Amino acid sequence: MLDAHRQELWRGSVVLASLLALQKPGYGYGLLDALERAGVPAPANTLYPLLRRLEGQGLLTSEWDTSGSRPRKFYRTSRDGVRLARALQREWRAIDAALTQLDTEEGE
Amino acid sequence: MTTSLTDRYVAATVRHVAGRHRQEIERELRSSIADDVEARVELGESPEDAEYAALTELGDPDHLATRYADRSTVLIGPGVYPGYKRALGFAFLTILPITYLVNGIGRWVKHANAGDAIFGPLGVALTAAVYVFAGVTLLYVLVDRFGTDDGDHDSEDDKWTPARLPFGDTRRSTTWAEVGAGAVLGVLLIVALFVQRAMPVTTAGGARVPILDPGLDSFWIYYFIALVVFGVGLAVLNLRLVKWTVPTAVLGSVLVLAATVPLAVLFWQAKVLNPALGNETLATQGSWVSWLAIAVLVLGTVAVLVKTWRHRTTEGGTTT
Repeated sequence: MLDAHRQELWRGSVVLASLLALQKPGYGYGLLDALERAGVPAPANTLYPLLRRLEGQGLLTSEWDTSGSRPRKFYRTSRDGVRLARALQREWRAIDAALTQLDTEEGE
Repeated sequence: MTTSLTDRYVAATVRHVAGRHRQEIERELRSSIADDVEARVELGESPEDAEYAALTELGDPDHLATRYADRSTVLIGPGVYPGYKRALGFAFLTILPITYLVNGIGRWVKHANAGDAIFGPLGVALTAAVYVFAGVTLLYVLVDRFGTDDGDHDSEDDKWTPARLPFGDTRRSTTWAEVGAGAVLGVLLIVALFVQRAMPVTTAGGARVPILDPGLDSFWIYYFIALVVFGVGLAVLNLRLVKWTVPTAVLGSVLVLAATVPLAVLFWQAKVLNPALGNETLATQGSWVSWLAIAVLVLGTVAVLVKTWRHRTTEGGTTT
């Protein structure tokens, strides 16, 4: 039960996490790895389609890098994407503040 | 071949993806899978195990394709589901009994056998149920895909206001689903009236005659068709008004009575079903069949009138 609620809570954070992480260009698997190490649960089969969707919305730009051992698609957060990330981050803090306030009010 | 499993996986995924994005997704997916396999091999797995594990983690290609397509794969979304359920219930409750009765009467006329008349129509009713189910479902699938109507709300552009809130715990008196189902039913009824003329039944005597009394053709059939059209029109109007108002409630009641009273009289005079069907009971004035029909009519009428006026009084009670 905890797992289901936890997943639900984290779900919306994947977009913000991706936009923030990709301010430095990155490719699909690399981002997956980075998110996992940061503790953001984002399954590959959700993350890869999400990247394409964000690209479609103009929040990410992409470029194929063929210089490595195999071609990789590098994503980078666009200017719109950065703007959205900042806005979402403010929301995130507002959520935290609201929860903290509710918690202390109850606790006292 | 270590790539064959990946090939199959990628093919299974992009199979469902529309042409334009196909190559791009395929290329990207291959690259990501290769990255994952490489990382696992570096940790000491064999290439085969690594590939198997990477694909297992990506999961069912159909699900992945769905996410790439960014499109719902449910037939009927939550927006239209309540309407769908109501429409289905309404269609079953109206069309099935009518089908059963009409077919039962037809069989009784033909074979004059009560058992056949009671159990024979079950198969036909079942077939009708399947058709109704498929038809209503298809209709709502289309509404869900292409409709702008978000369920219970009007499809007009104007903004939602609190005035549109339903009254108390009662639903709005009429919903799109009911109007839609009613309109479909009305059309079916009108079609059925013409079809029964074109497709006569064979009587026990071998003659081929229409089910309904041809005496109705000159006036009554058109009278009832007009009432059906008016009824649907009133239902649409009622939808705009959100609830029954005094004028629409009176108009609705008049329409219901204008339909049921003459029909009851016609049943009592045994002028609804064709006397040429050759069944004595059906042709006799005031027979038990006509009383049964009248009883059903009275029950239906009372139910409709109660529904109409109850919504009226609920509304009257809450306004200050």
